[in-house]
Amino acid sequence: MVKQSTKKGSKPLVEVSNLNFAYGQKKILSDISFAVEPNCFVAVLGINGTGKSTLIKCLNKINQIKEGEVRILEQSIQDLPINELAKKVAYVPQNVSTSFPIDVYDVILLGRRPYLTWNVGESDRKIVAKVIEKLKLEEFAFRKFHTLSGGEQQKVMIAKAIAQQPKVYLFDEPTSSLDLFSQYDILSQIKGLVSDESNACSAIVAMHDINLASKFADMILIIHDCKIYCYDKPSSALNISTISEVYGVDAEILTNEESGSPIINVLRPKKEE
Amino acid sequence: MWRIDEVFDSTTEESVDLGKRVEQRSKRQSLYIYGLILSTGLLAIFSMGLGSSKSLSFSKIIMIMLGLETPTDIQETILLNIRLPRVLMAIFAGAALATAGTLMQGSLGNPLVSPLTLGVASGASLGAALAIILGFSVLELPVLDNHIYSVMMDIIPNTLIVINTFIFSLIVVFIVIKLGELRGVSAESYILVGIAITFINGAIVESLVYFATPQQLAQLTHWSFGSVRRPDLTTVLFVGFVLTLLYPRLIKYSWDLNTLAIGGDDFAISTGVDPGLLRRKILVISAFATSIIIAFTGLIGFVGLAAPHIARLIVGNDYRRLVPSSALIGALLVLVADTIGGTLFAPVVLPVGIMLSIIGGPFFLYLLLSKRSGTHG
Repeated sequence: MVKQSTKKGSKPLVEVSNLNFAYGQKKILSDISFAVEPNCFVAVLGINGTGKSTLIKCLNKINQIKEGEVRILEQSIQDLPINELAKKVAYVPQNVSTSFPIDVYDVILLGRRPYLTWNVGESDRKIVAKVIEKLKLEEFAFRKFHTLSGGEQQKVMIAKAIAQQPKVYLFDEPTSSLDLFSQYDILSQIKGLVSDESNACSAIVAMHDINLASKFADMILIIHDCKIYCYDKPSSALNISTISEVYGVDAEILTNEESGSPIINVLRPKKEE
Repeated sequence: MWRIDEVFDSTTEESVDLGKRVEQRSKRQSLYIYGLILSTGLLAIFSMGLGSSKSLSFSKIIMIMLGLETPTDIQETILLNIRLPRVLMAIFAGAALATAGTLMQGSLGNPLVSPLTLGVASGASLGAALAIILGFSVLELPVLDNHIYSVMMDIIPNTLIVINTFIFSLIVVFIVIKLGELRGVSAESYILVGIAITFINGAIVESLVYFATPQQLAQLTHWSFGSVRRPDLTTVLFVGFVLTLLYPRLIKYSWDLNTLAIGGDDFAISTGVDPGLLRRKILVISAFATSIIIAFTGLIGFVGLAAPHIARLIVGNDYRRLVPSSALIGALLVLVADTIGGTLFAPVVLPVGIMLSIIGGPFFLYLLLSKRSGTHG
């Protein structure tokens, strides 16, 4: 079992050590330790209900951890007030099912909330305007958030996250209910964010689709039976025995000729022996 | 691909011009607020002219206020000592209860919450019942059907009842908040604990009532009607001063309530808002404001529930506009109810609590039904 595979040299953005988490008596995560380097797209995989979302939520205090430690930029999140943490970590929920009518512009402006003392300043408006420009959201800016499509909403949430100026982006199944175009659009945006060398950010993304993870992620973290099953590059992490053991299916592994990343072709559910 | 640092580089200009649209938008939105301020002001002046002794015309009041006309001694006494405190108290009570209602509905994510739900009202009743029935009260109430005595009762505040109700409603809310926290700081815990405590207090009050004399019963009933005609000018100005100190803090929570309304607790946390802390702060401040008001006025319930919803129907759900708008609508509602209650069967004054429900209820229903499809727009 691979516990940790970080290169020496650059300081990790996120360090999780010996994290345990349970909802009441039900154990969800056990002895989770890993580190995330700058400019890294980490896909968190695992079957349904395995604690992908739980892990993501442990990293920004949505879930209060009692055992283990999470450090962001070498600072334990236990010591950080929620407002300070929001300047370092931005979280994009799976979907925001709201009927609350608020302009897209104001949703993105909420990203500046951790920095506000009393009211919105000129610099905050400028940042929001630039994020809108970069993500090409001009035509939505003054529409109501809840009237947008799922993909558009997700993009607005990414814009809001960028406005928070974080070092770590957390995504909880960002593409799970989106059409094909939006899936690739959103993941490309995330990939763009973390590959930007001018800004040492990383993204930790809970995902469903193994092939999308293989295509976009730099590292794959698989959670199985409450533990980290493996944490490695896609080409090493995604092999026939892993797929069989974690997902319970027989598969063949093809190779993407362009990028060399593995493509998983599921053949059949694994036969009981 | 673009670079992230470009977004935060303050030396470069953005190419899309959103500034103008943002400005237009905020201008349009403040129109509502100005309109509400204007109508509250006009109604206040109009209401100053009405009363059981002598009616003064709208223009005359304005002339007196501007110093262009000197009022007679009697006019001055009536305006300063009876009508001004009444009008101001109506405005303060309406604004405070409506604001508390808006913030509590927002922070607990429940449209049925009002400032009186979390035990404040039951605590106040308990305080009043203890004062009136267990004999803390020094003032024996004269028989109520005598109009002049009831006016006297309105003008002289019963200090013991006031202090009792204030302290008991605060104690009860703090118990609710503490017990709610034991169960976790979720919205639901506060509401459930509040309901349980309300029933317990209700039972204590009922037992006290069971042993009360008819006079005590009458006084308690009279107290529970709610009236903005009890406190004198000094008291009203004191209440106004305290509320003015609290208000800017409440407005500041608008942003945080917006995050809570958009995506719940998780989204709020990821935006830097601690929902548990926010709830606690809002509950404490709302309870304080509500207790101060109902200590002097008795129970005025409907405005805290209805004003936030009426404001929602008119200006939308964005708390940055909703909080000031519902305060103004609350002030308007109480002012209208008290003015009509004072003139309809003059010289008999119908208690504002009753009038509020009679006038506000159908108005609220009308708005709900006529804008049913646009509730969220």
